[in-house]
Amino acid sequence: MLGISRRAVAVAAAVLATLAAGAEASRAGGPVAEAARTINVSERASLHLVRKSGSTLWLAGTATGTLPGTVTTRFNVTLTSVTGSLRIVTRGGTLTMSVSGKARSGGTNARFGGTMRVTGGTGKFSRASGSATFEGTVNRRSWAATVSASGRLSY
Amino acid sequence: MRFALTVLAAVAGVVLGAAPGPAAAREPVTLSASFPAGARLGAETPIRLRLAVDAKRLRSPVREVRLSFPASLGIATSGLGAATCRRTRAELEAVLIDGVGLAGCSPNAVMGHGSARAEVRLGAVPGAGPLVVPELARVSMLAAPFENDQFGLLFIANGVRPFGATLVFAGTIEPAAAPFGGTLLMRAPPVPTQFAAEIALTAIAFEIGAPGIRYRRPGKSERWYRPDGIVLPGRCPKVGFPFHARLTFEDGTQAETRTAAPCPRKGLRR
Repeated sequence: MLGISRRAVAVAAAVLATLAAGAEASRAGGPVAEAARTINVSERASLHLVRKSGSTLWLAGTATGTLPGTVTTRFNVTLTSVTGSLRIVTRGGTLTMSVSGKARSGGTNARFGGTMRVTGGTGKFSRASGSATFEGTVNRRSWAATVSASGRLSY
Repeated sequence: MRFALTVLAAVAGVVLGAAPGPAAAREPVTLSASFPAGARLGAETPIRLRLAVDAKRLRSPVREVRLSFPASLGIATSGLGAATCRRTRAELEAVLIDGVGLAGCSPNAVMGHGSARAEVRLGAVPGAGPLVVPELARVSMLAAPFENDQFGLLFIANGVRPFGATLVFAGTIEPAAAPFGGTLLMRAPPVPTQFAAEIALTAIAFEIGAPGIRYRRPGKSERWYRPDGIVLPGRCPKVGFPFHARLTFEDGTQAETRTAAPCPRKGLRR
């Protein structure tokens, strides 16, 4: 074999096979490494009450802004804090976030605010990370809420 | 009230005796918490709380009450406290205020009603035993504006007999460690009087989200509604709903007690 060992041929074949498989995966839309993208996010959500039990509120609604879509939330609300989770279904995937804040005023239309952090995602947000601050008001008779958030998101 | 204090202080001033001794340490305070018989898990219910001080063992007046309540109770998710009531710093320092009932506060700020019992001790001159007059009062717990990022509270006590004065005490809701969702703090400063009289709280009982609470609808019409009450969670903690109280007395001593409200029955499946 002109001085080329069988071992060298096997290695070359394996390399070619790997390259060919990569090209096929790329044509088929398979996993390809991409540079992370970071964007500023500004959102406004209008939420309505789905259910409440004890100190837990389930709210849902729509978000407009950088990531328009539908929002579902689960908040644990005490007189001193608001904690919970939030999920946005938007173009290209979903984002799941944890929420931590506190009430800023009482009365029928109570103000609240705090921070939220990305804890997971699907689709193009499967490796997302980021955080945001939010401010909102909630009507404590109807439990309709509006929330404005701004922050940075990498995905 | 002030006239009555004058008369009674004058009477008491002639009686000499020993000053109050130090506090005893054995279970000087008791706390009870319960839900009404018809309460159901997952449904709205009032909460009944009662705190009592054994004034024979603890002579020093209560200056601060800290009452921690369970995280799972839907107090914040109720409709209680649709308005807030602000009192001036001068009023809170004076404690005794003009006015009857809610003394000008909006009924939409009421979160609970109850009663209190106190000892009015008159003529506590060294070497004299004070003349002790028991006083009964109706108490309302109201929402107040946020104070330093904390939910504000007001307690208005309307004396029933024999004095009939109106007293106001400030409070807040502070964060609390699990399993509690917050701590209700009520400050009870000394009542400034020109006589050697002191008021010592011996018992307070109130019902948060009491059934009789009614709020006025916005607008000109006199229409009233019942605000959403406290919603119980669908499940009960194993040991019931825990409550804890810590009292601080004027002489610096503290006493604490805890209890658990028994679990109500499960609600009907919807």
